[in-house]
Amino acid sequence: MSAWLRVGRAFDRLGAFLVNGSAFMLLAMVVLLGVEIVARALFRTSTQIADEYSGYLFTWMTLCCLLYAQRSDRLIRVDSLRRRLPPRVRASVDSVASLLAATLMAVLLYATWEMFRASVAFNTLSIQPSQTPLYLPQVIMPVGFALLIAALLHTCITSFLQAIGRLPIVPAAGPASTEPE
Amino acid sequence: MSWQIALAIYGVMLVGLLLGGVSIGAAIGLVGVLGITLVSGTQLWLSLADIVWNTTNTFTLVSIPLFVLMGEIILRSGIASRFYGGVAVLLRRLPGGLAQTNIVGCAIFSAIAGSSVATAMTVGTVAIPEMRRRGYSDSLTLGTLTGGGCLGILIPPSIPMIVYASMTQVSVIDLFMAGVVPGLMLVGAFMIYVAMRVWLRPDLVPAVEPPPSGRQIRTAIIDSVPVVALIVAVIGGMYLGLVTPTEAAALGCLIAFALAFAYRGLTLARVHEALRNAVVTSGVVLFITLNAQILNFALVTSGIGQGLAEGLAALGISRLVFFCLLFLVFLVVGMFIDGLSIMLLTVPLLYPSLIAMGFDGVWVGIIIVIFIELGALTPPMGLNLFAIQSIASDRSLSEIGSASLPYTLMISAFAFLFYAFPDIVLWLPALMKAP
Repeated sequence: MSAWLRVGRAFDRLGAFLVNGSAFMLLAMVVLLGVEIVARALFRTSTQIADEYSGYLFTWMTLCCLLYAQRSDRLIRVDSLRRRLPPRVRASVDSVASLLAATLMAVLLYATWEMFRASVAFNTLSIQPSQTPLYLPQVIMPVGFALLIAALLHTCITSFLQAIGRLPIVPAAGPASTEPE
Repeated sequence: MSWQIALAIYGVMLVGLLLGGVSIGAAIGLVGVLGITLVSGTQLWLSLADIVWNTTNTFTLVSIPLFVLMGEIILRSGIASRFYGGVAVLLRRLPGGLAQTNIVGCAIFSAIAGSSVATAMTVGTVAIPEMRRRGYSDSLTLGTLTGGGCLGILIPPSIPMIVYASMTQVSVIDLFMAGVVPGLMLVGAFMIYVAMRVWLRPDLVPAVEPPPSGRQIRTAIIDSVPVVALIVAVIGGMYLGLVTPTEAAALGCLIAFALAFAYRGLTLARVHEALRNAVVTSGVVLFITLNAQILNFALVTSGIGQGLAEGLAALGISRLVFFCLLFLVFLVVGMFIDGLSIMLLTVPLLYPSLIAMGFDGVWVGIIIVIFIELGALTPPMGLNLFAIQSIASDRSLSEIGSASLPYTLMISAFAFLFYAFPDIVLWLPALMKAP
């Protein structure tokens, strides 16, 4: 079982690494848009890439932090009924819930992988002045969903092992720790 | 399959998944994928990639992490605490003293945070210990914080407004401007309520403090000005058309960084924490949003949106009855699901009907934001109640809920006022467009 727990810790470390990368991308976004504002206000010119590249950074930033959000239980859920369940039943429910979420992510992985593959095959370029090859910003979508599937399957199996008594049960999570407003 | 049967399947499946503990985003997405699959098999699955790409790549939505970061910097650098202290001195002589400071503090911090919980938490962290120390009654204090926190998503910038705009193609700037007057009216109403409550029950507050000295007033103004200047730069920049909402958010971040460094309130660890929190918060929002767009696509392909709009039109329901039903739906659903998720679930379904009934898209956005504010105040899933309870942990959720009840009633009353007089909402956006 310790090997299984080590896998979980590896996901945690990877999630923390990726969320730090996301933080760096957010900072880059601030700088890029700041340069655009100053360039336009003072020099009456434009970087021509601020809108486009901040969008790409946003895509990367979002997909990179999903693993961390999943591992730290920050993806909001309706917890009022789940928290009232006996621990083993709750673990079973969590196992099924993670499997269902992983199924959705698998569909999204398939779709985004096909998009990425098509962008590579046809060398699709952005319609903006930068003419960026779109597979570069798009590659993070299948990667992000693949990581999320792996983490969800880990949670699914961990919860299943808890439900059948092969792993100790951790206390129930409290109400969602973040607000998306 | 008729749209009625499809709607019933969607509804049952969604409730089952949510109660089963599937995260809200994944539950919405699963229903969407099932809906698309029922209509056209796996043929349209590839379109899901376009939905994910277009949602995570939307320039309007880029402003979300930037606005969250701006609030985080102001909070973690101590500027928010200084600001609260400054406003407390300036409003000391008003009936209710620090309780009035909470309302004004929440209103002004709303213009930085864009989130109800962030607003309530920020002001609450400073206010609750201080007000207890000075002898204010918790029944007065807690309500001003949960109620005042609701202003966070009505006074611009507002994350739900940004998401609503991205779903309906309504102008973000119009929405932001439309939130200003209703937000200020609620501030006024909350302040009048506090003054009247204190007048009727003087035992809720300590004895009136002596007026501040000239030096205290000067210091208070110096502490308050940076935050006000930041808000003027962000909202003024958008209003005057100098910057887009996303650029305004980036500008706000740069100003917030500059202020924080000037006050020597930021360490590297705090910057790191602020950045991390901003990306995770916006990542969670985006996860729900992109799944809501998948559901939106399913609603269109299965004809539910159009069917519902035509069905409601055929029933001949009046606008007022429809508005009342909408109010009840949001009130009940808001007790169990967080505000943004309700908005993302209901807007794709109801927006075509609302527009077909002649409601204005900007007005609808503001009303929905007001409705989801109610959800933040109603147990068991009232996020503002949880936020304040996390600070005042010796108070039960029902005590905090009772303290919040007058604010819930005031917000409800104002929603009906804005129904009766929609120009209150639409006046400022129209003024902005006037030649």
